[in-house]
Amino acid sequence: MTPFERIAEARLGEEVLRARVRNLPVLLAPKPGQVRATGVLGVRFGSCDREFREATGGPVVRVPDGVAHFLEHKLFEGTSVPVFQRYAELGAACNAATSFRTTHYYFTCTEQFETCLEFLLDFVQRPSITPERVEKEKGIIEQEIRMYLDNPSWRVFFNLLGALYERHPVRHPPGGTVESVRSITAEDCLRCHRAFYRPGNLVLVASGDFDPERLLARIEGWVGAQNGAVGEAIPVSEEGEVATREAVDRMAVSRARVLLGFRADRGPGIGEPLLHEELSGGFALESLFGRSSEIHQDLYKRGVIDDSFSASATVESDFAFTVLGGETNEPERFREEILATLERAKREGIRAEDFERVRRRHIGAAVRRFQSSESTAMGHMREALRGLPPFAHVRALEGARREDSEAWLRRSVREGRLAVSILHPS
Amino acid sequence: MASFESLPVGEGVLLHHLPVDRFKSVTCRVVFHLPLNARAAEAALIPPLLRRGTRRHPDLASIGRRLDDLYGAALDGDVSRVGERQILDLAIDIVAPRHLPGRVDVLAEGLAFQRELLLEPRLEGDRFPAEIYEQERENLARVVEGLLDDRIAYATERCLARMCEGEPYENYPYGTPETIRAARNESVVARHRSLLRSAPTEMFVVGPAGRGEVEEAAGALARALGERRVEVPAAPVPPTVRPPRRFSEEMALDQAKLVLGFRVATRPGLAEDPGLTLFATILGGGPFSKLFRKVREERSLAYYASASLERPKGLLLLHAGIDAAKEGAVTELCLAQVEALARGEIDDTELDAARRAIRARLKGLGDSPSGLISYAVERGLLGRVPVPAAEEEAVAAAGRDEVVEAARRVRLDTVFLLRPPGGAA
Repeated sequence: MTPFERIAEARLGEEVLRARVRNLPVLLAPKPGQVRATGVLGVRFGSCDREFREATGGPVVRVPDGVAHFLEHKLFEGTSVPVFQRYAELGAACNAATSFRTTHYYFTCTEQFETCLEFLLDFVQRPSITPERVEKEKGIIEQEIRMYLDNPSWRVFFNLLGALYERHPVRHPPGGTVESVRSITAEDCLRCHRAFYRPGNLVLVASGDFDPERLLARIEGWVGAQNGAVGEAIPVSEEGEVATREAVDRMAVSRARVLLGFRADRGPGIGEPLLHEELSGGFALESLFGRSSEIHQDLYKRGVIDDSFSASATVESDFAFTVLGGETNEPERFREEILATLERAKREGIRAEDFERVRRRHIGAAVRRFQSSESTAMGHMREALRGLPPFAHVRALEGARREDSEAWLRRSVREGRLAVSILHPS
Repeated sequence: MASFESLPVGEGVLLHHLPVDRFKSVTCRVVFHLPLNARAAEAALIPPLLRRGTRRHPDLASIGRRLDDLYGAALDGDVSRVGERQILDLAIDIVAPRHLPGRVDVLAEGLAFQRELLLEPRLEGDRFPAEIYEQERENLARVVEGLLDDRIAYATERCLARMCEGEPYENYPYGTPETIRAARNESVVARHRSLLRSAPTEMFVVGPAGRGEVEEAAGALARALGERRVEVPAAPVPPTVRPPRRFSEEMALDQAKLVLGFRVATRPGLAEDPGLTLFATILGGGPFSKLFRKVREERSLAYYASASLERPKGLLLLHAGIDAAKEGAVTELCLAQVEALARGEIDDTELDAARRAIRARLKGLGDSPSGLISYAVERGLLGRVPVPAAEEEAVAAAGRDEVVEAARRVRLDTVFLLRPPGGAA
C-alpha cells in the first residue's frame, strides 16, 4: 500500500489524505454524508505555455496560441465514446477549463464515483488525436472564440491585458485567436501532451463520501508505471514601463466599462511567496474597496462606482496584475477618483479596523469553501498546483499582516505600470 | 434526505426548517409571494433599498461592518418570477459558529440582523432618503438595461415577452427601465408596508441549526409582522390556443440567438409531472439529448442547443446559437425532434441517460441549501413544500409512455430570432 499522511484541520471539520501514487500526487478529502462527489485532475500546463522545452535542457519549442485549450477539447473527445457522453451515461456531469498556467478536468456525480474517477484518469492520459479530428474541432472552437468576442467583460479585460503586456502570452485569451487556432496541428497537441501530461506534473483530487484508504488502494490499480521526461515550462518576465497606456474599444453595451490595471514586473514563483503575494494584494484591495470600507461608501454615494465595481489581484508563478473596474457613465472621472484613492492609501496606509474586518470575512469565506465537494476539491487542487500544502490558505489567514498589504500597495500601484481599458457603447 | 418540517408561526407566516448537520453554514431565506403585474418595478426596488440602511445601521458601510463582524455573513435579496407570481426574498447565510475562532453567537445575531433589514428600513417620513432612493432606482434601471449584454438571456426574455403579451407573465420581474424610472419613492414604501401586512410569507431555514433557535427566530419575525390580513395571489388563467407566430429583432452581435417557445398543457394534481421532466431532458437536457446530438454534433448547426422548462407557467423553451441564415433549417430540425419524441422514438440509452441526469440533478440539490430552498419555493407555491426525493421516485417510475404523453401536450407558440444586422428579417 502506498504510504500516505493524514492532514486534518479540526476547526473546519475537514481532513485530507495525501499520497503519491507512482509519482502522481493524490489528495483525498472525505466528506461523510455529502451527496455529490467530485474528482478533478489538474495539470501544470496552460495557455501561457506556448514556448517550452520538451525535456530539461532541450531546445525551445513553440506552438500556436490556444493549443492548451485545443488539447483540452480534444481530450474530451475520448477514444471511442465522447467523454461528455460517457459521463452522461454514468449520470455524472463533467467539464474542463484552461487557464493561464493550468488546465483541469473534473466531474461531479451522485453515484458510480469510482468508475467516474477511473475514467477521468484514463481519458486525460490517453489522447486519441488525429489530423481529421483536429480539423473538425476547429469550427467548434472558432464559434466559441466568437461567442467570447461578443462578451463585453471579456473584451474589456483582454484589451487591458493586451495593453499591460507586449510579449507575455497572458495578453492572449486562453482560447487563442481564430487565426492561431486554424494553424494548430495534431502534432502540436500531442507534443504538449507528451511533455506536460505526466504524473509528476498532474495532481488528482477527490472529494465526497468515501473511505479514503480504500479509494487510495483502488487508485493504485489505475495508475500505470510512467516515466520519461517532463517538459519544462519557460517563465516569461516583462519589465519596465507599460508601452500602451490606454486601450479604447466600442461595442453594443448599455454603459461604458473601464478597467484600470497594474502590472508587476515578474511573478513570485510558486509556494509560500505566491500565497503571500496573493493574500497581501487581496487584503489590501478589500480593506480599501470592500463594501464595508468608508472609501467604498463614499465612492458609491457619489456615484463613482456601483455594484458592478470590483477589484482583484491575479498572481501566477511568472506574472501578477491587479485589475480595478466596473461600469460607469464617466470613465475619466472614474479613473481619476480610483487612482487618487490608491495614491492616498499608499501615503496614509490601511486602517487597522478595516484590515481586521477583512480578516474575519475571509475566515468565514474560507469555511464556506468547504461546503460542497466541488469547491473543496477545486480548492485543494488549486493549492497543490501552486506548490502549497493542503489548508495553506485558511491557515495563513490568522497570520496575515497589515504591513504586508501596505508594502504590496507601494510596490504594485505604480504610475509606469498602469494601463486603462475603456469600452464605450457604440 | 429528510423533509422540511413546516409550521405556521403567525397569520400567513410559515416556517420551513430543514436541519442538515454537515453543512458549514445556515441559510435563512424569507420569501414573500406577490402577484406579478405591471407594478413589478416597485417591489423589485425593495431588496436593494433594504440593503442600504436600517434605523440602527444607517448606511452601506455600517451594514457591511455588521456582516463582517458576523464573519462574513452573506446577504442576498432579489425578486424572481415563479409562474405568475413575483417572489421577493431576503436571505442571509451565516457560517456555523463551531467552525469559527472564539465563541460568538453569530447565528442568533445574524437572524436578528436579517429581521432588522426586512422590517426597519431607514426612512425619512414616508420615504426612503431621496439620494439613496434615486441611486438604487437608477442602478436597477441600468441592471435591466444591461440584460442586453447577456445575449442569450436577452433573447429568452424577448421571446417570453412577445409570447405572453397580455398575460401577467409578460412582466419582467424587475420591471422595465421605464417603469423603474417612473416608480415613486412613496409608492415603494407603501408597497413594502403592504407586503409586510398582506403577502403570504415563508421562512426557510436550512443547515446546522436547532429547532429551538429557529422557532424562536421565526416567532420573532411573526410577532414583528404583527396583525396581518393575507391576500393570496390569484391562480393563473390558461392562455388561448393560436397558430405559431414568428418575431425577429436586430442587434449588433456575431452569432444569432434562436428561441422557440412552446406552451405545455400542465396536469393539475400531478406536481411532479415526471413525463414532462423526462421529455425536456431527452430533448435538450445535456450532451446525450436529441438537440445536442442532432443539431450541434451531427449537423454542426449550433454552438449550443438546449431545452428549458418554465414549469410553473407551463412553458418549454428551446435555445440555440446559430448562423441567422440557417434559422429555417434549425427550426425544422428542432421541431422534428419534438415530433420524434411524440412518436415514441426514444431509445433506451437516451432514456437511461436522461433518468440519470435528472437523478443526479435532484440528488445534487441535497448539497445546496439555496438549491433546496429554490426548489421548494418553485414547486411548493405555498403550503406543501417538497424535497427533490419525491420527484426522483416519480421519474424512476416513469418511462416511454409518459414521455410520449408529455410530448403530445407541447405546442409551438412563438419563434423568436435575435439576429445580427443585414440578411433577411
